[in-house]
Amino acid sequence: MSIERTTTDAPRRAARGVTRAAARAARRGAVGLGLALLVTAAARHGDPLAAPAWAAKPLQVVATTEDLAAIARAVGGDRVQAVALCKGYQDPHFVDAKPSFMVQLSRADLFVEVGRDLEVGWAPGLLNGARNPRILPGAPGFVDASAHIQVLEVPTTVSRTQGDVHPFGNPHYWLDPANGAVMARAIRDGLARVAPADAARFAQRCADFEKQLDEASARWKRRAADLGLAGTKVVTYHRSWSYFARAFGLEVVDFVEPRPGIPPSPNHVQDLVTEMRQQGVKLLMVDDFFDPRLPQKISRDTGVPLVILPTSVGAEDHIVTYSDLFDRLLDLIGKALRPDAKP
Amino acid sequence: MLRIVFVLACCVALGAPRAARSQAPDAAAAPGGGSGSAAVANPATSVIGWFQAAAGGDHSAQGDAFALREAEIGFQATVDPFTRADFFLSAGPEGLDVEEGYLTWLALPGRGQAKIGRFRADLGKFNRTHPPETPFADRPLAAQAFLGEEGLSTTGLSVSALLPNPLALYWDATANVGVVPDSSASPLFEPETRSDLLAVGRTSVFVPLGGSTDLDLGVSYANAASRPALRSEGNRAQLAAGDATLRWKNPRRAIYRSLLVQGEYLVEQGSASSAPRRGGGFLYVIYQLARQWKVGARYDRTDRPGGPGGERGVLGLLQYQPSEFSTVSVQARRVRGPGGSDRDAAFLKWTFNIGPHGAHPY
Repeated sequence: MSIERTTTDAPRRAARGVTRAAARAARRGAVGLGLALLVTAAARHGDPLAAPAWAAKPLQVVATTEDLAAIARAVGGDRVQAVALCKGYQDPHFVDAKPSFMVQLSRADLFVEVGRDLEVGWAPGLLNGARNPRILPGAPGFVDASAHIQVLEVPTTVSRTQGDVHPFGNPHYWLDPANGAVMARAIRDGLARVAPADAARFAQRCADFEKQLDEASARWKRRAADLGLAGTKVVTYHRSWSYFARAFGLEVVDFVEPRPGIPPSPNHVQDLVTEMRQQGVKLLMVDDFFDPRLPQKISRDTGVPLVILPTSVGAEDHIVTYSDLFDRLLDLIGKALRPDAKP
Repeated sequence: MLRIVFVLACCVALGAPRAARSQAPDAAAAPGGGSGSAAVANPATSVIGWFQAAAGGDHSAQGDAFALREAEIGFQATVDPFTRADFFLSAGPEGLDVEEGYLTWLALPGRGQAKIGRFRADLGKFNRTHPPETPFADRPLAAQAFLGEEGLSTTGLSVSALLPNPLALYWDATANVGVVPDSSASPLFEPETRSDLLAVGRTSVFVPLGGSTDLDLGVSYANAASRPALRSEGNRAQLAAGDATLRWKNPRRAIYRSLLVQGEYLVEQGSASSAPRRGGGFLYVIYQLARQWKVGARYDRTDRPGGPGGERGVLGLLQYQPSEFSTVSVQARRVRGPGGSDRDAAFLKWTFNIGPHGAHPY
């Protein structure tokens, strides 16, 4: 150490020492962080779709509708926790793609959608923002429940002159109980892909669900026969009831909307009223999320009873399962057609 | 050495991941069969047309009585299982421009995303909205004063991440790094050398307040080389912004009633210690009173970067939607300049779209 150093050098030397030490620590920290990034990236790249280490926890299922979530619970049992982005009382065409949904999706093991472009206005953006590769289209955790549905009303030409038409067919297929089994199988297969160790359990629960659905369907068919639904002419607000009508023999003769998504004009309403009288329409069926005032006026003008119907599980507090939905629908239709009948 | 490690790590993290395992048939297989292959292979193509008529003594928003202000042409598609591409071309009186064109990696480690290309900067919330898709015939005075007539855009890299939090709220952080827009596009910035870059950071949190109401809060900051006229206030120009958005909608009657309240405040200051601080902001309300009808109002207030005085403005609008794909509104605006003089303008704005256009950020 040089004897020429003075006492005033000591603080400066100390400060330089602290600075150099801080710089060394910063460099080490930065290198460590960089190496950690490399290791993390390599681990993720090793298998970006690998089930996370906490696979023993219930599988997180995010469905677009309450109907799909209810079926997922039926098939998955205690191995799943299922939530729906669209509540049962909401119009599934118009759901806001809220950022909070992305948080749910970021943790999902399985995503289930109705498909057929029902959710095209909101679901793709949510999936794109969820940062979850496991549930992107084509990934094992993505389920399009419509994949094996026999879809009605697939248009041969698609043009906006037809309104907001669904180019891949009518997506409201969950309203035919026969499609409940098809949806359940799609969910079963999706669950088995993401949790193969439980595939047998899911298969058994799916079979149980289908058996219960078959038994309930027989009950509903008897109820529909008692009500004389076969051949009953109805008008609906939107093209939501095509599958339900096919299942229970109703004949949909026209719609309050002149075309999908196009609000009715006074001229259309007048023509509709005339047609309802001429055709002997027996029932006006309106989804519960539409404004009922115009249908109420049509009902008064025509004398045709109006029934406001839930379209999904969760639309009302006591519609908890998929079967509850059809029990409630037939109950409401029965009361509308036979208001004086004893319960 | 430090830079090398960081660059290498970032390159590996952002690089192409291994191909995803797919143990099942493609669940998103083209439905409908037949011509589905073309529909799947081609990007979603859309055009949004923006026609506008203007009247009144204020020509600042539009000089001509009638104008096709913009045709926004969109091409959007997935590139591969890991990325998607979005291109928005803006065709207008000044010609054809790439408004945005970027590749996005959808899922990166740490719940991250990244994009490269040209994009509107994440400075505030309003700046991300393309002009035809805002409710207004013009842009708010503060947005013009600090971000430019077309808003702030850059070409570069953006990274974002969802931040974990005990309340499981959507809380994100985004950083943009890109070229500095030149003074023809930006009132604040001007690059001197190629290494002059624009840096933008934003963090936002989305707070659901029950089933009908949501609140979105954001804070942003931008820093870049200042334009020559502002160099006396420092070599760097800084811009900070706070934004808040409140939405209400009855989920049982979603298509009939809604309320949107959005406000932003921007503050600009040069890097010199003696640099003055200038600010401006806007607040607007859009209320949907029936399925096809909305009314709205906006208040503007702003200083002018590099100049004295400021401006105040009010705008009112009445909007009608014949369908989901077409919107027409009549709007009236008054702007009061620094000298107290008023400039009035009235507009009819009509936007219409063809083709599938992806939903905009909420």
